[in-house]
Amino acid sequence: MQREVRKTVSVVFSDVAGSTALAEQLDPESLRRAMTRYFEVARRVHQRHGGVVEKFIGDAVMAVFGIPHVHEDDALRAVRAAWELREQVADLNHELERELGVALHVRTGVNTGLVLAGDAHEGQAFVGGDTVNVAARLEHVAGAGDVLLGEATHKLVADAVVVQPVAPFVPRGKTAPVAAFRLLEVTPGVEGLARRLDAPLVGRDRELATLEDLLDRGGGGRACQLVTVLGDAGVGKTRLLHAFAERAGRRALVLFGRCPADGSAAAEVVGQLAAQAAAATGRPPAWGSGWLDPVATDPHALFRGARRLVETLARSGRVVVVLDDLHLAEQPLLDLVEYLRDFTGEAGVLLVAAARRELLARWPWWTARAAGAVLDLEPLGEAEAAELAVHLAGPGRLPAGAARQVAAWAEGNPLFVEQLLRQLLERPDPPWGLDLGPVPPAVEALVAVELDHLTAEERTVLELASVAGRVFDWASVAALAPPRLRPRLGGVLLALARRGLVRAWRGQEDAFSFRHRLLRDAAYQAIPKRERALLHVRAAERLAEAVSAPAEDDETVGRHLGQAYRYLAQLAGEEPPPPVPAARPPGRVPVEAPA
Amino acid sequence: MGASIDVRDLALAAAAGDPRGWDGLVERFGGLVWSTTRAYGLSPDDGADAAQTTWLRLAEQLGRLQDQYGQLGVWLAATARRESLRLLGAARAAEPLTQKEPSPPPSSGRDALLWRVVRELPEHCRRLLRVLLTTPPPSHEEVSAALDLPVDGIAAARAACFQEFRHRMATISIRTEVEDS
Repeated sequence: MQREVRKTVSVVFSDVAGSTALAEQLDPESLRRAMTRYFEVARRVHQRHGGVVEKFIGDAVMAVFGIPHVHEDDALRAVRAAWELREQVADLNHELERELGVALHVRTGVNTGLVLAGDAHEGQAFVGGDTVNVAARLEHVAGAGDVLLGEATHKLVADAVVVQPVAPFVPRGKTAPVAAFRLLEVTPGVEGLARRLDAPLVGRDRELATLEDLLDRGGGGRACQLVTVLGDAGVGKTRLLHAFAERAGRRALVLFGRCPADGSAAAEVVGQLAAQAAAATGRPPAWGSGWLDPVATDPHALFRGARRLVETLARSGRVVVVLDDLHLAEQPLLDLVEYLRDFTGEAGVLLVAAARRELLARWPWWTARAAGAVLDLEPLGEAEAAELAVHLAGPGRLPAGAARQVAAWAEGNPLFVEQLLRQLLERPDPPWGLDLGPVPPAVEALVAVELDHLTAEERTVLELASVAGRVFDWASVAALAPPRLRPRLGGVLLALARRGLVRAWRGQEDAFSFRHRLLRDAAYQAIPKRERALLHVRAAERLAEAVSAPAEDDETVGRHLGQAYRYLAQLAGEEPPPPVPAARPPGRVPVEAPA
Repeated sequence: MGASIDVRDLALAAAAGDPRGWDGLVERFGGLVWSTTRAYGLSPDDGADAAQTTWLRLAEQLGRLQDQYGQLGVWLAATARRESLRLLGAARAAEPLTQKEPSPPPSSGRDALLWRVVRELPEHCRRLLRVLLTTPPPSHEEVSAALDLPVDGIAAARAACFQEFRHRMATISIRTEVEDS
């Protein structure tokens, strides 16, 4: 089975400006030493931000963010790395000037886009293409010491950077101009696209009441209660936690912890909680004796310290500890949560953990016992999502029907509503009532991350299912699957359901439905066209061979064959995209009455 | 989402000078116009010229076409066909078309086989499928106008061409199955 996938990555391309002149100034050995130190700095910086230095080309360094695994903030990681590289080179230059009397001037381009990448499990070969070319061209037109961002990258990091638009340019071999932005500043500790936590909470009364009830009912036989809020990316977990924290804050002390992206640091989370506790109580975080060492090597000391902190606080009133993004956690942090739940001796403590469903796929034991009460956060209904759209857009900004249109597109996911609106309202004349345009890049990135976490087998099955359709049955996928995979197909489908990517579909026997249309689309788009064509042919063959095929299958067979033909024709170069018409009507045209 | 909007509304908006109406028409029928010109075997450059001319004609005549606003796809397909034939020249148009496209990149193995399946399909099938498989899918009336075929015969022609395509793909599919296992 193919394991190449199309995926969105961010590419950082850096080159040393004026290196020829440098070569004249320095003897070859000194030059080599200077460049080696620069390459070391570049490699270290990129690695720290999660990038992979793909290659050194002459004096140029190309780093890729998104292989072997994509992160939803790859673009921001790339931009932060590019910015830090610029600063580190400035430091390096102090040394080089002192030692060799020279300085390096680095130009950098950052671009985000689709690439074809090989199997993540086999060291992932990587095909550059347009995304890399544009990054290289951005680098080429950047001034010495400058970082230029491509448009797609800028869109994904807009709230974390200050930029200055530069004149669009036409890269070699292209016809359309490319927009570029000179990076002036990167704000630390900020998300690429700020979440709108200011919008009113819509459609979550029941969930909020459940949480408040748990807080007020207290113990229930236990000193410390745990509730796990589970939901898809963007469904509103963080928003719900904030709303609950606000209400609970009137009668309890609320501490807000968030699992860091690398998941490793239980100590970091405890540090966050302790700092807030200190701020809230006005007492320094010195319960016990120096347990709050963030680099504590003794896990027991950390656990005990965290428990004593909570117990101390609980003696003067109820305590709520919120832990967001728990799906990012590694085992020590999950152990800590379980430990707090079981070992806290003081009554009146409520732990509220929020996580994407993948938490359960990674740590199946979490449901069995540890999770406590589980609150499933479902997508909003269409009316609620439309109401949210109206709030987010602001008064009078959405014409009639537009809110519903956005809500239907988002299928009830508040983050998708937010991102789509943001993209639409940035346009001078949003196409309400028409095609709403491309999937917002931030939404695309979220969906990509979900697919990227799958095992190779799960991913294969999901892709096969995407060929069968948004709704697919077990047998259709089996017919598409290579024989070696068929015996395990049921298990893999159920694993995908456990992850929440697909769910049982009641309208048809043994059928599943993709949770969201965008997941199906993303899985489908990730299949190289040649493979898509072959899979469609197989799907058509199977339907056509069924003995008692219902009449509507003819239509489906035709659709599969049509898709197959289309992809092959595209590959054979027979289907270039249509040209954009140069003509337009000259404003209002006089309409003549029909003859 | 685009396919659910009434063409008449788009045409009225375009005639009223609303650029979204025009853009909506281009989005809806850009593929049909383009695939029609391509179906007549024009080179990519000539095809682009024919497509551009077709849109120019629409921009010029939009005000006079009011009674056809509901059927603008048919009008565009017929115009694209006419512009394509005009470019080809009356003499050439009467002859069976020969492909005048650049050679494909050299490929081997399964890719080469797949490529051949497409290239060796009978010309009338490639022409039909090219127009039929446009996004969004054209109506039979539009296909009929684009290819000058009777509306009633399109379903049967489509079935025959898919049958032909399936037959040619079968051998390759079997190979794939073997490769995968």
